[in-house]
Amino acid sequence: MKYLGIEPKKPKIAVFDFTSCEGCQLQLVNKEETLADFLNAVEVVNFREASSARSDDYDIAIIEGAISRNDEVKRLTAIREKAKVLVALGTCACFGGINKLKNEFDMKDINKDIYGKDPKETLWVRSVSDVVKVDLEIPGCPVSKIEVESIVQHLIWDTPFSFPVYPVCVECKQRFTSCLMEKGQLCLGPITRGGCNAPCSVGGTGCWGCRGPAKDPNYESFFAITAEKGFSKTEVNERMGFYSAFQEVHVP
Amino acid sequence: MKINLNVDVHHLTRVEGHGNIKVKVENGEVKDARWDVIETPRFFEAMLRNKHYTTAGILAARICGICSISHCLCSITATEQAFDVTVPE
Repeated sequence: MKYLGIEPKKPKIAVFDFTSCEGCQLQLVNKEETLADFLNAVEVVNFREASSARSDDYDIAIIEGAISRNDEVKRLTAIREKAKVLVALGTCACFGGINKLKNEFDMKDINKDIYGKDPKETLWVRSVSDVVKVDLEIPGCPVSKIEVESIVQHLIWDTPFSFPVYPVCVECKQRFTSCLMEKGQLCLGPITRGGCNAPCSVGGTGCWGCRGPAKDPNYESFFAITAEKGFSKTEVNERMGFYSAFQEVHVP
Repeated sequence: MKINLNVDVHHLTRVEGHGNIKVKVENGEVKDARWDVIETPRFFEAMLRNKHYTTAGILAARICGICSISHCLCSITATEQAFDVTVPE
């Protein structure tokens, strides 16, 4: 595929899944109208969910999922050694995601409760950057395919790209949505990083903060508003802890 | 024909979840046919504990990225049954 008479660089991409639902990988192949162009721009050499190709020779390794077992730590470390660029794809890879909800329990107790006499090997859940060096983090549950495409274009052709610093509220208002907080729903839109184009709030469900905090979020005002609207401390903390994307931040 | 076969697929492709298939055939007789689920357990049964009922459906949807809608709908139906409510069409 030539562009302006020039053969563009075609990076070798490998996609690897760890502790996850594999929905972010699915986003990569889900957008049919641009799938052919996407596959023309890159060379997919390893992508279990979509292909039987298996090669250990790759430039960009895309990591989906959190890390929750010793074999995953070993596998991830080996991938890091081979990859020139390592990308954490999705909220689980970036923050640990919903998988981290299990960390609040005693592993032995839950193993016994759920698996009885056949306990499973498991570790405290960690994000990818807790284990190896990460070059780029693309958050989202799932990731926004449009955003991923922009990032891939940026990596191949140096087209400009930057993550938005503004919160989800900006994009929600750009789509002429009435504020869900005004309608009595809890929404993390005011403190969550934009870039997703607000599909949840536009669809009628408040934001759950999968993309992590916007730049300099005003937590103080946000907590004052949620209290004024009558949302309990537990409710707000449960929402902010859902994806582990706000780390230690919680209603004081 | 007496065939011998040794199938060992490590990580099935084009599916959600990690699975291995092992099939062993000796002299036309199946000796072993196994499907191993080798992916990491995520403990959803524990994650759901102590959560607000409105969280359950959204959390259950994260079990699988391919069939998230069925997990979400099942969880919502279970929640409705737990509250003993029938939602009108």
